[in-house]
Amino acid sequence: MISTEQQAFLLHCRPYQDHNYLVDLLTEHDGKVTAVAYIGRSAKTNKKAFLQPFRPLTVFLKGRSTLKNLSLVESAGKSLALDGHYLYSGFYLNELLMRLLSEHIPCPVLFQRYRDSLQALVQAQPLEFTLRQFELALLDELGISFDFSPLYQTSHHYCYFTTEQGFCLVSSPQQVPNNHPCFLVEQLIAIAQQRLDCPKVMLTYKLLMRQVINHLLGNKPLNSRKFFKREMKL
Amino acid sequence: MKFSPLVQELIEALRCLPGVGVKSAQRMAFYLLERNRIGGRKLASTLAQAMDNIGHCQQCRTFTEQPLCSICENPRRTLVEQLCVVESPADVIAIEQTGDFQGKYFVLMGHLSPIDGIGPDDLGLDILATQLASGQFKELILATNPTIEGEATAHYIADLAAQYNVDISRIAHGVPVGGELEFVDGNTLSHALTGRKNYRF
Repeated sequence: MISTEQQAFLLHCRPYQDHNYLVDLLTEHDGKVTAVAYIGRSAKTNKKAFLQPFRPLTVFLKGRSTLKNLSLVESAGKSLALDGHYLYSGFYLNELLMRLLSEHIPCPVLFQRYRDSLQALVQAQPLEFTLRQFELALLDELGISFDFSPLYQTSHHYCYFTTEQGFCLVSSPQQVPNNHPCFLVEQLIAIAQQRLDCPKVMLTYKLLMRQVINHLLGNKPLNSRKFFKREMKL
Repeated sequence: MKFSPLVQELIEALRCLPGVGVKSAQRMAFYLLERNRIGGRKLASTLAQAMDNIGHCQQCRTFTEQPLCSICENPRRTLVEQLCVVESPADVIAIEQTGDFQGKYFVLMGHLSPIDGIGPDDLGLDILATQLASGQFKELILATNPTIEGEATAHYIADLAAQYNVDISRIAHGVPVGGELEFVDGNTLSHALTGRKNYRF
């Protein structure tokens, strides 16, 4: 792999040894990469200012092993100033990527989507829509897609979703297994056709995505969701 | 060749310190054994006492062996109306050294960082909430670090404090004293510009 300068976003960084940081980056050409960044001994160094999430970076990665060396990091634009809910959502995106994406698999489409999503968060566009679009792109990258076709050929009104069988149609909500949310077929068709202006459809979309993502995450829940829980209580 | 079991155990034990690997641990162990037994004994007894007795201050959560730390206990500070929220005990010392702040502190012992698994429940925010609810404080100063996580923490606390009757302020970001604009990173500089102050004579 011949590395070149490329765009990247920092997902997470933690101290490593005395003068280094271990950083997880989402890069344009190499996908998710972990690298060691030398911070230096001097308190004057302003490299730390670059190693912040939501800041467009130009990076150059060196090294043959899976753990790269971050030999160059420069700012590629202004830090994206996220606020409040949008900031928490940014953390949510980062946590999703950290947890679900495998390393060293190029994903230029997802990178572009991540950048667009952050832009959308900065511009305070509707939150739900931005998050769902990103989740869809992430699932796509992970090779998961929804097969909506059974919904078009049925007279049933209700259905539930399992990760193994896809959408299962039932004639009444009572037939849905206990731990699965019950969906309305017409709302799912609206999702399939990306008609997302109705709040109820968005809620269904959210529940559907949450079910799939929770399945992928296993039994360790996402921490960034805790931010929102308290907000709900208020 | 191996060291005798106790020497080996000492080396292993010293490795629990941050940034200390096998070699450094070995050097420290030999130094204490060969040249500074008194210092070593003192370290051992102090360490044992500290580990047993030091806990968190009931009000501000900084480290102390008393129920209340010296700042919270200070009679001149019992009725102050300012509360400053910081991330670590080191930040308290740094602010204390300036001598400009006479209020009380609240130490979070970290910042919100979902990927590291640090959520709102780990920062003792319930203690902070009860202190704000007591009505003693009129101003809450958010002095978390100017990192993204620090900002998120500040925002979260501001959100929490909004229901109580307090003024909420955030410490300013700016150019360090003795620094040169040319070498200040762009983010800091734009913060410094947006947060500029009126020039008063």
